[in-house]
Amino acid sequence: MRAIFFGKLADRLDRTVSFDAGGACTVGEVRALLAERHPQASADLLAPSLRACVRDAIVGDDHPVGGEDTIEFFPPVSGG
Amino acid sequence: MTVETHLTERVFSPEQELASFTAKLPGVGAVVSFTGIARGETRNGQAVRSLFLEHHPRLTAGSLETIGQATAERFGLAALRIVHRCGAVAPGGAIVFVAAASAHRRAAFEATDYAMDRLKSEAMFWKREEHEAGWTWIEPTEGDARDLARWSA
Repeated sequence: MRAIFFGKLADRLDRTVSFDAGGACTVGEVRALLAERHPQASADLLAPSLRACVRDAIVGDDHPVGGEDTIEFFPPVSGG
Repeated sequence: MTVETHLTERVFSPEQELASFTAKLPGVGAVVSFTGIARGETRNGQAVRSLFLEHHPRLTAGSLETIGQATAERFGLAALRIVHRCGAVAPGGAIVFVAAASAHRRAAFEATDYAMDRLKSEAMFWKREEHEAGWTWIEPTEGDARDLARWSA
């Protein structure tokens, strides 16, 4: 599985992280797994304001993921 | 009702955008525009060398279109244009331009205000400022959230 990070998260981690999800099968479980493996980004990965995107759609923590899925993670946006 | 949204990596001229927008609207009663400009100082007073707007390769343009369509429909506009930079913007450079045209001024004023409040809170960018000590990511503010909440009241 692969995670792509935007904004400040890409500073704390690499832009793209490939990982073995083990038994994690929802977005929420992946977030917890990544937070455990990357403690320097734990607070950001577990923040309620973090959004996840799978195949260009924003999804919730209960969204199922698996196999070769890519999850994009978006910190709060700042446009305008 | 014409809605144009443009995401661009290039420097653009707000003056030229306003002129070309207005020229397409003979007979319209009101045109209001807003330009957001990159500041030369951070909120703490440090000198800013550059502003960088990261965007999503597919979703950012869509977020501008969504906001543009919603704005034009809510205020019954004759036309709306949004131009938004991505990439590096120098201090003094235009970051975002919004122009709204309507039969009468109230809708044009409110639409421009509304569009900016939505862009601040929903447009899919991540901004960072470069200063002497390095880069700082710009976080959304409570003021931005309050501004957006006005439109739900």
